[in-house]
Amino acid sequence: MDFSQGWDTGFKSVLIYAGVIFFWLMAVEKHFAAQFLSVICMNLVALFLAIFFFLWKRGRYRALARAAEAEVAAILAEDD
Amino acid sequence: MLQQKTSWPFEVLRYGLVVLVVSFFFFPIFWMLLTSFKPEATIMVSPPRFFFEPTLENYRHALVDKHFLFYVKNTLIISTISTLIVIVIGSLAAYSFARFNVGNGHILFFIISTKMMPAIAVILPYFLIFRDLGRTAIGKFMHVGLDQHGALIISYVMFNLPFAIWLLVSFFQDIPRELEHSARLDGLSRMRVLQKVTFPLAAPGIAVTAVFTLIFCWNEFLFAYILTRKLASTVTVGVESFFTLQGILWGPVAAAATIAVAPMLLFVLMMQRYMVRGLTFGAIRG
Repeated sequence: MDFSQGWDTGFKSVLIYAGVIFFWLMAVEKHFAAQFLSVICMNLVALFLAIFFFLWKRGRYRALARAAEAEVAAILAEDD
Repeated sequence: MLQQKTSWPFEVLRYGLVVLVVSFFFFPIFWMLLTSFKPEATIMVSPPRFFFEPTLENYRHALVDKHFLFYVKNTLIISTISTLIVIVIGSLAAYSFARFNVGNGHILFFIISTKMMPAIAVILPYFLIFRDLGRTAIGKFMHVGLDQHGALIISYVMFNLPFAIWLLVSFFQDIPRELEHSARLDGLSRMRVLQKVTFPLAAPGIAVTAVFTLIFCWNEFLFAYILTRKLASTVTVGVESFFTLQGILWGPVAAAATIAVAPMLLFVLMMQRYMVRGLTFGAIRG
């Protein structure tokens, strides 16, 4: 994963984190008896989704890079 | 080997430095977002709190009590129309400057020189013009009086057009004339060449100019503050309305600022690919 891919993915992860917080406070928190518990759960869920998204994208970028390198290696081998 | 490998301490140092610089620039935005979720009692405490029980009360205040979406709607109308006008006039003007060298560069310099004065220097004449224009029949018909959308649209067009022309000229200059010549030889008229050859090639440049113009219009404060009162106020003026005589409502200010930033942030995120392409357009010449 290069810098620009990391930057883009990291930024989207932050947006996912903020989005989960908005959604949680609007729709989920009212179902919790204690706000303290809700806040902890909210942050855990937001963190999990943000990290999961980052790792998933990183895996995809790495697979793409490997495929591209294999393609170039095949072309170079053909030339030789 | 496609890429030169670097040692891991160097990589750690490099990325550590990147994280440090990015954190420095992102901290105000992070703080704004954090403050927008804080209960009123925890906003101004010292030392500042990073852990608190978040609430949407500030958003409720901004959206329900102050009807902040009204300001967003106004800003969307004014910014979009201004940007469209700037792009249409700007691209045609820039094309003529790039291809026909109108005014031998003097007119182009004059146009950009209008950006060399601060906006505050021209705000009083603008105020008087729109006040008087708004009282005329045509002014009323075109909604160009004070506290009307037309006044801000015209002001933003006047203020952003020089920048757009200046930016677009370099994009058009990078398109080889030979492409247009060959299209003309194939029997296309000048306007068809523009439509079919030149504008599609300049599309990344036009896109980047449109994004910058939209951002400038969206974030503009001075003209909106002076030329509007209530009906045509934009988000920047809307945020300022939380600065009351009783004090500054920092929580709603942060919530309103977050709402104001969000559409532009998402728009720029969507346009990012085109912006990078547009900014590097013509960077390598053969």
